[in-house]
Amino acid sequence: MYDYTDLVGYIIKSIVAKPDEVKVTMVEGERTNRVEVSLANEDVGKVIGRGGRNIDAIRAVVRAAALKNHDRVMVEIV
Amino acid sequence: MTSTSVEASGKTVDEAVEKALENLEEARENVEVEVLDEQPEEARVRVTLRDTYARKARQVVADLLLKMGILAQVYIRKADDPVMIDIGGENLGLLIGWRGETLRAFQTVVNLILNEGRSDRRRLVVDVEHYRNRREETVKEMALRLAERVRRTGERLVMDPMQAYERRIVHITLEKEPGVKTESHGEEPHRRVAILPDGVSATRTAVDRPPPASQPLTRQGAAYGDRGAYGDRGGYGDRPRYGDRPRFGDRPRFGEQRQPDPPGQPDSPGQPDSLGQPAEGAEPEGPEPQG
Repeated sequence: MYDYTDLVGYIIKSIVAKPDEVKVTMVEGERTNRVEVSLANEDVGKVIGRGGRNIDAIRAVVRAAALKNHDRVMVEIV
Repeated sequence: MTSTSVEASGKTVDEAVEKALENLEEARENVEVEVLDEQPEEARVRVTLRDTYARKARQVVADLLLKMGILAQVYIRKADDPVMIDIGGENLGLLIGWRGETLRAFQTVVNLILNEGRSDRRRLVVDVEHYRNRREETVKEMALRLAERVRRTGERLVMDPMQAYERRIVHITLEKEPGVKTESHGEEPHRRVAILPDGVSATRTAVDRPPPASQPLTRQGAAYGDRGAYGDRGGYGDRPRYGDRPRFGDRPRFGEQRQPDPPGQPDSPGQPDSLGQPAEGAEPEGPEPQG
């Protein structure tokens, strides 16, 4: 299992107002691994985007990176 | 991003700047010039690359690819209106995804990063190995081929759901084609283009008569055969993608009786369009398609 916290952290920190409050942790599961992101309340909307547009795009990019390594990764905001 | 600068000298300031620009392979408007020394017959300048939007974009794309673990080259294809960034390399199908899905997401993320904290939002287009041009050609060819079939058979065809940009290509491509017209139906992301014989309205037949659920979607079946060069990207083999995809066997077989719409006739209630033959006029988008 590769580490995707760097990729997710880079994207999220680049688009929020308070990058210092962004915390990214990897939670390994049996089949699927989760990348959990915690961030400042005011930035949640920006990361999710209208109709989930932004978070969907972020997930697709992470999925592509994971696909290369035959990993399954879910990005979740906690 | 650190900025690059080059020092150069010449007989005049202009000549020195020229030399520096040649060295940087850059246009005059993208650099700052600083005169270090100017004497008769001798001038020295320092030329510094301005941090243009295109350069920042290239950097963001390169950073993102690196963190994704994808090995590729990144170029600036077009520096403005809109800025276009090219990604080149091998095995980049992964980055394109099914019908460009992943590429679109990648572009969204790059735009998000670039526009953070900016009031003047600018659009950036990211392309992989000229995928966009190739896809555009595929869509055009498909549109023309289906239009030809519509003219020949007098039957309307409904294409696969497509992106707004791709639907636009179909509309524009067929705008000047004689004997056919195009309409879009359904809601995003399942909005589809219908190609129909000129003079027939798909909208009214659909409003009058929504298809029963069990009905085979004959016309669609024909369109589904044309999935273009990337038809295999679905990953589900022969399985229906949205649960309504007709199997190959649903298509009218050779010699089977069809009920063509008479092409070129004005719209009239008595027309054998689909009212008399529900199976032929099936409108897959549901009861209320929009133009």
